[in-house]
Amino acid sequence: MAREALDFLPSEYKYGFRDPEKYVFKARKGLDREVVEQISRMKGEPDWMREFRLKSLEIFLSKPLPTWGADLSQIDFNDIYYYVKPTEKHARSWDEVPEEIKRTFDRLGIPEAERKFLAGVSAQYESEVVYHNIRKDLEEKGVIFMDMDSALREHPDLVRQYFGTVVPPTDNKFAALNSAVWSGGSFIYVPPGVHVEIPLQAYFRINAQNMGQFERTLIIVDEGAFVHYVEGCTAPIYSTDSLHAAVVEIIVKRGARCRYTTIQNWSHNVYNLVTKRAVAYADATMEWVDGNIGSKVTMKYPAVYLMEPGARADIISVAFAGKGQHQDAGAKVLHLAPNTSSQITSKSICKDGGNTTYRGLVQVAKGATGCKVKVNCDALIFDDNSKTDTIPYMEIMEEDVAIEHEATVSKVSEEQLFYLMSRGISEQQATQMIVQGFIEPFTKELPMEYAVELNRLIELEMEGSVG
Amino acid sequence: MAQLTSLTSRAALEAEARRRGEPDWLREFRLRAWDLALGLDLPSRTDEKWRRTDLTGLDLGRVSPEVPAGAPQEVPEAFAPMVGEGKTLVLRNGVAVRVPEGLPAGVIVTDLETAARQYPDLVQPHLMTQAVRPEESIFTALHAAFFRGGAFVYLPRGAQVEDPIQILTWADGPGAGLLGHTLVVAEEGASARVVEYWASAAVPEGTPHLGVVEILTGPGARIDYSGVQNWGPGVWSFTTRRTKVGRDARVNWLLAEFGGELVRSEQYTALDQEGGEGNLKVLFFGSGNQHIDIVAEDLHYPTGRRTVGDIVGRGVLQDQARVVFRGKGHIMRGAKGSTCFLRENALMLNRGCRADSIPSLFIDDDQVERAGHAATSGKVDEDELFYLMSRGLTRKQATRLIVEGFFKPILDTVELPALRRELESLVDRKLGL
Repeated sequence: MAREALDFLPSEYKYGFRDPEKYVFKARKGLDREVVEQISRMKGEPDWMREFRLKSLEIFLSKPLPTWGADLSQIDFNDIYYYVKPTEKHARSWDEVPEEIKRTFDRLGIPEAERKFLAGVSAQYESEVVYHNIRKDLEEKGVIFMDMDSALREHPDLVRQYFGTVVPPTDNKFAALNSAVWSGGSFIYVPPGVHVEIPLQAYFRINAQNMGQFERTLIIVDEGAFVHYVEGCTAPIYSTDSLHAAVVEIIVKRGARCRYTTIQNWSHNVYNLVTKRAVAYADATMEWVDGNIGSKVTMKYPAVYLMEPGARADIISVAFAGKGQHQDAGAKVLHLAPNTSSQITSKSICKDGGNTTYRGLVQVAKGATGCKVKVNCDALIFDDNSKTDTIPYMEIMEEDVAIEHEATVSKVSEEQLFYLMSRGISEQQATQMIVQGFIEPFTKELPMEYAVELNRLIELEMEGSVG
Repeated sequence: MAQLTSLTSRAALEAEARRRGEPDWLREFRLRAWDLALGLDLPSRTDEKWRRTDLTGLDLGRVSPEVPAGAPQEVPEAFAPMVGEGKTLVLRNGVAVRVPEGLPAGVIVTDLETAARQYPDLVQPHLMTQAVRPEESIFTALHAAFFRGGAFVYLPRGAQVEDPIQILTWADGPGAGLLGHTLVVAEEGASARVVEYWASAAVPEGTPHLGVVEILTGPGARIDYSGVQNWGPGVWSFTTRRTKVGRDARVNWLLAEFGGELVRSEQYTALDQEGGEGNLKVLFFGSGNQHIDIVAEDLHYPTGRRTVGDIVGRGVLQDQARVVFRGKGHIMRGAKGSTCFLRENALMLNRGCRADSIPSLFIDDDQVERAGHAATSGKVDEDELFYLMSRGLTRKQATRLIVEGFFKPILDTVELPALRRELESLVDRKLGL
């Protein structure tokens, strides 16, 4: 294939527009006790949460940057706005959302999506959730879906019981940072036996320059219940970088199932450093469907701790790295009980100097007999400047297990291209078809609207690739 | 490195080299390596490559280049069945006690210290200059300063050695026998099969072994190499092995790590010439409280177009053994049309053992012919066991058959019958049979 044929720059980031910055409150840049206390005071939080934030700040300051993974040395923690409040109140009806913000989300397609098929929607703009809504019937069944700040006020006992139990602030530097300055995010509680058949959805948008977004999501799926949560993220393009450091904690109780789908499409100036972890109890299933298309640097390894027999983890991810991007993503599964199983499928694509890394850990603890593990990592590399690494760690402390791991790296095959082109398909279309076929195991897990959207995104990324 | 001052001084090292009558260049080489070692530290567990091995208790001050006083100068009993086969060099405590005869013209097989004196033009340009270098680690630096005995195999252009060349190394205890260096140089178009076996008596816990193996091949050369490590209890073994594969040359190499208490075994296939091929197999059997940490890497350098690298790791764990297998295939930018594949299988015979595997791939060039890895771990298949036991075998016998079957494809590549029998009996001894 001619080199020029692959010259498709991700030049067109369609969510790169920005809105004028109009905020009711913007904390000063930088981070210290005062800023943290200010955030807590503004939110009128209980003492325990303020203490939790301050303790987390100390942990954040004492931990060094990770020495592995992507290059984070360019992040200037003093040049970031840790808290930006865009509006005084948050709306339950779309009409109440301030005009500029509404326009932004209109352009992102939120109400449209909601009208079509969603059970509930939440939209976060900078640090605060500006809008959320949930279908009446679900609310009547006792399903709680609200932003994290409201949940702390309205369901303090439930929040206090679970908050920080899955991802403690000591887990890593960015979990500590989030714990200190978190704002927004979703809180979901699904009562026993309730099946939320259509997805709940959240949109995250960074608009301000040098903004840090630190949302905090907590999902509790009670016994035998089911929920599918979908999130999407975008940001405008600024010449300086933004930071997104979220923490997601999920508790999947006995016999329950949770699916969490992410389409991460931050603009190419966002450091996306996210800790996502679920604990799954007896016969529960946790599914992470994780697509990483945007951002400058992503370090994200959705995790499942399999706590009791019969628990299951399914992690399927796609990473797409173009010019200047490093997607350091993967999965982490800890088998802590007998007869637990996990399946990890990872698809990476890199081009135009992009760098993808699959980094994963599978651990089988002593006593976790009868576990089954299957890991599959495939990478597609388009050109000489790009780079793809596969680094799976397997720590097996039990003999009665079945572990399988497979990985492949390939270029787009000339034969496939030739075959398609001999059928009258252009080289660009043929390449797109090959890429779409490559990530099909991922797209088929998405709700239809998202699958269409993802394919469109991929097409956009590949645009202009061939003449 | 503080521990080293108890070992020797620069002046003593220099005096010792003079006393042994070593050539000036070798003495200078050792002194440079000693200076390097003083500036290096033991690897720290914060270093990702060493995170899984605890070196607490290692005292490099106990490295000893001495030949034990009154050590026997004859072929050790353990090697008696093997010496009759192949072209055999036997080293005992760093001293050659048997050298092969009847080699084709120009082919050299002798101990490295003798070779350094007799063939400096062949040894000096190759000794730790192209494959393994003294500055790689504290272990290679100290090895360079203190290596004893060792083996030098030289194959001139076009030489074909029909009989396998066999190198047997024995140590009666701490001392020169745990400091061997193997240097194989195959010039253009030469070919040979080399098998090597290291064994020792039991030594005090934590006695270091510092080894280096270098295999250098010219254009179109072919080397088949097998090395079997069976150090006695107590040995903490640190070995770095590297082959540099010439243009269109091929190296098939196999390492088996069976013995020792703590083993750090690193092997690298360096592919920097077009069309080179390196096939590496690493076998391990961890039992008791053994800790075996294996590094196996294929490095396709930018100049190594159309190179082929293959790594197979295969091993058994039982008791409380812990094995770390860190495989890596790296196709660097420029190494177009290359192939790289890693496979690893671990068989766990009981609860209580632990297998960590990290089979990584680093691909920096899009014109990759094929790259991939596959790993499996698990226990002995109960159905297979049941089948064999229903045929009247005890559980132990059935397990033995399965383990032998697991190792068979690799044992089949060892051509010398006596060495092969020794390996099979080694597996049986490990299984407690």
